[in-house]
Amino acid sequence: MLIPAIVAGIGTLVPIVYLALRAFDGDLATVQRLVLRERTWTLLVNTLSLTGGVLALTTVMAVPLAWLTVRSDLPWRRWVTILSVVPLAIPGYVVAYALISLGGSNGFVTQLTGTIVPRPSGYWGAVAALALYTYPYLFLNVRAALLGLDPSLEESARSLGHSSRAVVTRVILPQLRPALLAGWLVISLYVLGDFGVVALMRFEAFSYAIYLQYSSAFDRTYAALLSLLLLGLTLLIVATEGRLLGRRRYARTGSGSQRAVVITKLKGWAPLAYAYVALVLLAALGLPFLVLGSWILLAPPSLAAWQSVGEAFVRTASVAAPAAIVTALAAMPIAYLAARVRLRGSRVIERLAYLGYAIPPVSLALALVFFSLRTVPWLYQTTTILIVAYVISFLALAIGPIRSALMQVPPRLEEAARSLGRVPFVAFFQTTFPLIRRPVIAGTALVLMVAMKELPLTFLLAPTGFTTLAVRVFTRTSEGMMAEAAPFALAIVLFSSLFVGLLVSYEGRR
Amino acid sequence: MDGEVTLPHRPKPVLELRAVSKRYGRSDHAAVEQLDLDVASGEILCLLGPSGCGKTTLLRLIAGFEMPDAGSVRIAGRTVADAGTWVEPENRRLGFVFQDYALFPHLTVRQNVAFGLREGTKVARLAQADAVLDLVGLTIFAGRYPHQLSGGQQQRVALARALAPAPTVILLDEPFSNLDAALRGSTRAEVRQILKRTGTTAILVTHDQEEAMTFADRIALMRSGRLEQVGTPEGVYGRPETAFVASFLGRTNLIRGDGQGSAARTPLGDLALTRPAHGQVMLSVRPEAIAFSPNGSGAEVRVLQREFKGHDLTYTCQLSDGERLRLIVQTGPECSVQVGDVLPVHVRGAAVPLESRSGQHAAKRA
Repeated sequence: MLIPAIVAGIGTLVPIVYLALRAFDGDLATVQRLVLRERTWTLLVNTLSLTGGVLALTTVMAVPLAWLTVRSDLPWRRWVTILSVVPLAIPGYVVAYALISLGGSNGFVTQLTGTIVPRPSGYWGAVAALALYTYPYLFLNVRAALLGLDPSLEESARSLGHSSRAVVTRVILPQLRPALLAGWLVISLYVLGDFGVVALMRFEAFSYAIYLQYSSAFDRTYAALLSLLLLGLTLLIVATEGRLLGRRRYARTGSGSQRAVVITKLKGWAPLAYAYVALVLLAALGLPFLVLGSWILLAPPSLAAWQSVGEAFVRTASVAAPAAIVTALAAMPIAYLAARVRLRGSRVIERLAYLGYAIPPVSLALALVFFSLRTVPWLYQTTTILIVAYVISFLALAIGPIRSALMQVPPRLEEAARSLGRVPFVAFFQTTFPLIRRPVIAGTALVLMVAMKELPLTFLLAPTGFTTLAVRVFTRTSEGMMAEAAPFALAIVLFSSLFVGLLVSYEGRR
Repeated sequence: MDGEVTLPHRPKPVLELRAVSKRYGRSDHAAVEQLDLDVASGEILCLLGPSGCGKTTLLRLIAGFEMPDAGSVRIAGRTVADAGTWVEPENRRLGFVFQDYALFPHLTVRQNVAFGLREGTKVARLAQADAVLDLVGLTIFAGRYPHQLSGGQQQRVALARALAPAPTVILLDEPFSNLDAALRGSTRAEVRQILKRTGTTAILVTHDQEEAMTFADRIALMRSGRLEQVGTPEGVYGRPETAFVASFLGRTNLIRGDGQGSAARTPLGDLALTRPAHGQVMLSVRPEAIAFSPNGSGAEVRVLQREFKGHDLTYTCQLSDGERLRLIVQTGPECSVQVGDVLPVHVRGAAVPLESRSGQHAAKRA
């Protein structure tokens, strides 16, 4: 178990080392001159203000929605909850595509109203597109925290003489802090790592600038340096979240079972609440589906177009499926090590896997380009290196569910099997594995789904001409061929939604 | 050992531990320290001690789930662990019954029991599993899954699973602690019967002294990683060697005395001793060995508390003169002595002089 786990863990580090080697290729003076350019500063400000804008908008979207679905008497709370999560299945570049489709001379708004509105682009376009597909992460975190809040804490505060407003600021908000921080962290990582949205909106954040720098090809050192800076920024944000969260305890300290949450009656506020929910869902869910549906109806794709969608689908699956299987195989020993073996090293290896998830995809892609060019040139521009990138990037997604499942399986089962004559490996496969099979399958499916819609790694690493669904949507949209992009985007969205539905019901059956 | 009654034919030990030590991490407190123990074939030995005394660690050392830091373990004449030898748990031919049973939740009762059977065809193995299930009286549950059984039934499946491959020794880690009180007694008797019927050597870990006394052929009392005393239940109860043993196995009165050979001078008067002692000595006198003698002579006590327990009565008394010694006196269920009465007591039988092992456990005794 140990050796494959170490190999998988270290695998994350190797490309990063090569990225650093490439970045510091030149003499120190050159590096200094490049880093201290005014452009670097502009990119940093752009990226941070983009992150801030997205965090603000997602908070405004997610927190009221979470409160309404947990603590109010809003009708159809279950359905609102499910519909609020579905945007997770819609990739950012599809949201950006839908937003862009609205404006312009042949955009939907123009066709419906006759007045030409400009195509959304730049900062606000990017903030809107990113917020519309990342807010579910905050929604889910806050929702879980609200469900876990102990009503007796609020009642104690009331009995100690606090008004209901004071209870919100002194009891509820402090308890929501970990959930908000966790949600903000995930969203920040998505914003920093995003490529599709900023590229389509033509907003010069780090990842888009890195791509431009890299594709213009005459100065790859600057691209490598920017990738390192972006990686550093990401790690800084992860570390800050850890610091802010600190070692405080937020769990219930007392024993005894917790009572159900108290439901607030909306009364006169109900119409406002309905309007709010409708607005959020319409923007996040209605917009992409309406836009895609309209394009398909307005300009029905030819049979040949559908055929090429099918071909792209098969091509996408031909890399995503092996990536998902390899990821699950690599995740098992790491999760086992993290859950069972109490060594300092096992935590480090798990952390490395999570690092892989946090590395901005554009940085990872460049790192793998430099790595393969220097050490294994025959792997450059192959699907193998693409699969390696997927595995590094998505390993943490598969480790999560497997590890939590392993924590619930008592280690005694394997000890019992060993006392009944099984060698350790056989003991694992006959006793523990059958019990974690579901999470392993769920983890594999999750990786498959994420890999199917992945854009930046594929765009930068895939062999020339190897166009997946995501690459098709991206290139067509950036060329303004909105109708031609529609069937590919529809295929991704339908596939992802179907998968999210399957995952939810599969997990629910346990 | 003084308290131990030697069995008429003691066969060659099937399990031999020599100077076994185990320490967790860098703690200076050893879980098991320099421990020697022999278990005879067909014997049921109970490892008894307070929680944290190292008894479960000792069991896991024998099973091979933990590796000893020093010492040797021999099973059926074969060394399975010493400085240069290590036999994996799967090759030790031992059965292990876990506290939480650790039944495989994805396998039926029959498949659980057949899990340890490796030889013969599948049909033969399942038939063999059924035979063992018959032994524990669970044949009708063979096709069920563990979660469909009661706690007592799961317990017997765990036993059947461990017994099925006919292990050299079966190790039981607090197997009855998850059962409710009513079920515990009957399950214990059944398990003992099954072990005796199959002639299986067994080591049972428990912190329940009543369980140890009813279940064991021999009791090994453990404290702070060492064996305090080993002997038959009657021997250990009747002739405890240390104050710890005396007070851990049932209640006792610890009385200071001045040993003068076969008797000792104590606040309760001169008491006969089970073995000679000289000078300052601590004596153990069981509550049932003290009786009120309303019309007799002897040290007078004042009754502080009276607890009626149905089958007997327990009194807490205080010696009237000078010494503020508290005494526990146990009588039959019918006794008219009431709280506040002042009356003499006398001791029946001999008091047990205790060793002071101050050097060994000085730190722990405080």
